[in-house]
Amino acid sequence: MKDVITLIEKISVQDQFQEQYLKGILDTLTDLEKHSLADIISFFKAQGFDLDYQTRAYILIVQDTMKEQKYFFDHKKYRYSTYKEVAGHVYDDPEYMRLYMVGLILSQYFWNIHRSMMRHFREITKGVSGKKYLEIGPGHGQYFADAMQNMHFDEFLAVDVSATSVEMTKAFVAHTLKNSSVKYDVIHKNFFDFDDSAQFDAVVMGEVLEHVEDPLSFLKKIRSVASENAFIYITTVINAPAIDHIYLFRNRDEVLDVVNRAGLSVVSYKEFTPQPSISVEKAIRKEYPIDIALILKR
Amino acid sequence: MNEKFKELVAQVLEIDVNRLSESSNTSNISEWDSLLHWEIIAEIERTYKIKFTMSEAAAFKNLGEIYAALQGKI
Ligand SMILES: C[S@@+](CC[C@H](N)C(=O)[O-])C[C@H]1O[C@@H](n2cnc3c(N)ncnc32)[C@H](O)[C@@H]1O
Repeated sequence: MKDVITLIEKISVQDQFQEQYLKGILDTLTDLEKHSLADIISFFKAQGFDLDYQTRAYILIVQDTMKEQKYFFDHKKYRYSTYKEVAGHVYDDPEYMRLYMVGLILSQYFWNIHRSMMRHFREITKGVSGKKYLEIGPGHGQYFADAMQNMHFDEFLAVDVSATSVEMTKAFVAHTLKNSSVKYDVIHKNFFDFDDSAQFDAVVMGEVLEHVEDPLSFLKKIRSVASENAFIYITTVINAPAIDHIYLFRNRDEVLDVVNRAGLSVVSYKEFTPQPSISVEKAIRKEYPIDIALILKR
Repeated sequence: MNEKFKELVAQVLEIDVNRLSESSNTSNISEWDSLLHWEIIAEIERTYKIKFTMSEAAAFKNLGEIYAALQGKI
């Protein structure tokens, strides 16, 4: 736990808002979450990414997100709208992408919005089973590793467009599931180019849809690889700018609409806001970021 | 700080204007997190037709500092 505290201290020195925000953060984490966070921090350290690197990574994602948030307040739209504009300096830039993904995995524990979603995912996936499991865009690998621990499938497959994400997911899973014999693979590919003859009994995709130019085709593709009764779980964001978000969903109906048009139906959905004190209604009214998690079926 | 300025900030934070003073900041106004900070900055820029740099705006320690910087620009 010493490193967790030191990391929070290092972050706090650099950013007054994070200092305030992270005060008392440890009290809001469960023992299991504290343990996982400490494990993640030591895993990165062992890989040569010390606490200073992790601080830099976290501060980078905070600052980049705030820069885009300011742009969004000013212009009411995301700065970029094409894959080409962001791929080069994000997904295909190993140095940036690694910092980004280290920051993003820490945000799963530090940010209210991501922590709530991680808990939600753990809750709803407990015991889900089948033959083949697919995750699109695992990024840092946290969800993929979780899935392998919580669900029962003969094979787990993940596909990510970033070589850095592929490498990080592989390393993270190898570390987290050290003594497990679960079969898995992580492949480097744009999901648009993924072989669609394969069928999966679960398709999971966390925060990827806002990264693509054409969410409708993306969802149609998901539909085509999902088996008849597949468990389909996707999350995306509404009015939530980030350095690589290119498709802007302005409200919940726009998300539900594109899902339906892709031939998928909504079993249930849940929305999340940046702060417990910000209700979903308030977030909608003020155009603050909302994360939406949907359980879908074909 | 004049009333118009304080009203503007109170409106963004959706709090009573009487809660605001020169020393107001993220540590004593619970609604004032980084998201709201940038909304406050954006609203001030829009209203007074001025611009702060990102690093300048990130470093403001309290409302008094924001007001002083604003005075230097209008
Ligand atoms: C924001 S991260 C999400 C990480 C994790 N799933 C989560 O929810 O925290 C987005 C990931 O999607 C990947 N990605 C973006 N576009 C993709 C595409 N067209 N095909 C496959 N992966 C993609 C990125 O490389 C990145 O690793």
